[in-house]
Amino acid sequence: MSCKDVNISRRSFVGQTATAAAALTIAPGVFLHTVAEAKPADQAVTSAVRWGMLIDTAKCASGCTACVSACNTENGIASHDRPRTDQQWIRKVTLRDKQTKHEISLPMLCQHCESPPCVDVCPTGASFKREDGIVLVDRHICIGCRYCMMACPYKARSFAHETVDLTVDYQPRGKGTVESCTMCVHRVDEGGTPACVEACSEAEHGAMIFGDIKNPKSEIAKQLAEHGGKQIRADLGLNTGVRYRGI
Amino acid sequence: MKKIHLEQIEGKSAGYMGLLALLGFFVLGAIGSMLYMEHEGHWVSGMDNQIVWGLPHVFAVFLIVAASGALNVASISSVFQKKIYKPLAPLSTLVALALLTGGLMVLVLDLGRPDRLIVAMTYYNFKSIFAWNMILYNGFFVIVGVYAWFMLDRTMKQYSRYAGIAAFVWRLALTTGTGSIFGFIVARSGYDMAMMAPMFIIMSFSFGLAFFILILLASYNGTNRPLGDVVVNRLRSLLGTFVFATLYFQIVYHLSNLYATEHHAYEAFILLGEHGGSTYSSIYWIGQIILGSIVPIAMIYAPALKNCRKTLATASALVVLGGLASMYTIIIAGQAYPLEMFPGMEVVSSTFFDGATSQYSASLPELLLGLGGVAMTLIMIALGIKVLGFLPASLEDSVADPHHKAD
Amino acid sequence: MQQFQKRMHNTLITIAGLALLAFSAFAFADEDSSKKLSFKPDVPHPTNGTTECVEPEDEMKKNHMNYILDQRDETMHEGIRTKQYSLKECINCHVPKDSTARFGDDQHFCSSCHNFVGVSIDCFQCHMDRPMGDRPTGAKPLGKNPHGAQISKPVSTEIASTSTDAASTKGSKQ
Repeated sequence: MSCKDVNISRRSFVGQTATAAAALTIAPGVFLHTVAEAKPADQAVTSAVRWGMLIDTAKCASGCTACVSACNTENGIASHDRPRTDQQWIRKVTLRDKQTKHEISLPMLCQHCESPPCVDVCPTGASFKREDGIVLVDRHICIGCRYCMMACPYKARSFAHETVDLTVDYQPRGKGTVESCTMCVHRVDEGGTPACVEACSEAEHGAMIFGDIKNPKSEIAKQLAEHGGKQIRADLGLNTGVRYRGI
Repeated sequence: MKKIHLEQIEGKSAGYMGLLALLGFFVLGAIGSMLYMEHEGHWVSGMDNQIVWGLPHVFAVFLIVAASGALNVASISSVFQKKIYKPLAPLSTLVALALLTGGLMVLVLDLGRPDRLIVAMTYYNFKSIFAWNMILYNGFFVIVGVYAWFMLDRTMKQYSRYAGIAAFVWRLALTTGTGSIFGFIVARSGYDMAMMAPMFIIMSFSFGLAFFILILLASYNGTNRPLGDVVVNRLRSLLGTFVFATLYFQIVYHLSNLYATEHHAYEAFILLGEHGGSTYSSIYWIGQIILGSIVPIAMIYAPALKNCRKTLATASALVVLGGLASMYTIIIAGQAYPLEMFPGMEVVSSTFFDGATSQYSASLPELLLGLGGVAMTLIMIALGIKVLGFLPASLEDSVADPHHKAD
Repeated sequence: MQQFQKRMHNTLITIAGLALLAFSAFAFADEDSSKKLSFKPDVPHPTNGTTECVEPEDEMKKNHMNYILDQRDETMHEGIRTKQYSLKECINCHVPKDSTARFGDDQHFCSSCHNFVGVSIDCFQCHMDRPMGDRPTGAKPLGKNPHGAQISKPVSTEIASTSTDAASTKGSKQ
């Protein structure tokens, strides 16, 4: 081995160690995007991931509607002052136990079930479940029959009862079709979180967590394993993606 | 029994033209209301995010259920070989097809995107009973059309029994499918039961026959053709049997529900009007049970009223009214009752009316749409007996009665 | 009698034919008298400087509907959000940002041709027919923060974006 060779290998050794050290230093501050990495745009979603939410009713503040406002702003949902026909993708519900009089509040949204009744009943297949667990309405083939609205145990679906004033281009919506919470799929596909979850954390409540349930290293999976998470109407056996603590 | 002679009605009288004009007016009203609802959006109707299927669907489902029941008369003649019904069979197929057309018209015109009907015909999700229903409805047209052809075509007459059997089986599947639309919904307390399908079948017998009787009486009265008592009384007692059967199903349904504590809340809602259900409870008791079942039974079986046709017509009309009330109870009250998402808890507040019984008030566009469907049915029947001539020239006893002994 | 009926028949046909000819003169009545009669639609070109579409012009004329149709199913059902055939990107390029023309006007890129050929489309009953302006007030940029609720304050997107080459969107401004 000549001196030259040793020098080169030493240089490269130092360089590699330095890089490794730097990486190790920065790594904790950088998000481990293997957890919720933005998949390449040209790749299809797979069932290797299952998106879910965990909502802690103990942290959900009774009068707060940050998640609802965020959802409406994000998706361009405007109120027409007609509460019976206005769209509601997420809503706050306050409950009281009849026996103990204990009150809790929680956000109610599409539960993104694993066996969604809405998908079963849709005649055209417009209501469908993506591979990664998000339940969506393909509004291109929705005929507006509203059968899925009858079938949903959570009343998660809304019908567009009037012409929509379009203000955002990433969430097309239109009169005469059914719509519901999309888990902000336009954000999730690019590695983001739903608007409601972000709003909740910004409002300093942190009652909502979003993540990949199938990944044991994700925050949501760890919390589910540690504290559990109940489904609303667990008796129906739908295996919802949205779980609650404290109900 | 003499050979039955089918004859076209003349159809030129002022009364007939006036009838067509009136019905046409209602059909135009339905189209107008559909255009209005589709253009403005469904917020102008009484349907909202809580009650998603309203009066149009009450009419539509009633017409569809009655359609398969109206075919019964023809089925009894072909499948069960009862000769007395044979002359009525072609008219029965016409009434069945007309009822289905009217019902489907209302259903399609109420869609949020009726311009996407072709999507509904080409994209199928075979787990959905609604998708199966679309195939069943379209197939009904074909099969009943073939059945009518076989009955009337001299060369194909020998095969009419097989066509009749096929039509009978198909119509049972169709009504089972229609009942299952509600029976398969796991989410709501008023639905989610296997009994919905047979209940719909028995209701179809009752409603379809009542409608058929009304058409028969009206058309023979209007054309001054003879209609003997033998046929009328046979149909009368058949209707009585079917109304009894429908009432039996209601009794079994409620008794089973009352046995299970989890269903008590819904039973109190529908039977006693609790939890905001007083309107629905009234419609159930007065419309469906008293006027729709008990009074017709009394009218049909009262010995003093045995041969009175006005009584039979009234009884049939009440059964039809009761049928609409049944559909109202099933479809609307079933949706009005809140979803039981949190057992043991009550909802203090919600912006989406969770936990609250929804009140429904039908709007004029919805009513016009429903009535337009009925008008479409009647127009098809009126034109059918003129153009196709499915009405026997005479149904007097000497002609129609297979056991008639010449005096 | 026969002769009279025949003559009547001929007269009516002639009147009908003349009336048809007369009415056809009004066929172009709504056209600008300054515009020449043309048999090509007046399609506006993009104002952002691009001169080429994602496919050659002839190819696009024949097949743009198929590209859009396939892309919509891929995006909807599989989450594939490539930009090449995305309807959003078509609009972003072909419709000027401050355009006042809406779909249905002859000045809008899509309807300039669709009005001409008389093919109705329903895309813009749900999709925006012009590029979106600023995101609505209060709407967050498409977050790069998968751990939204874990920490009380959102992390600056600068750190988050170093380790990925995630597709940059116009929403990534903070």
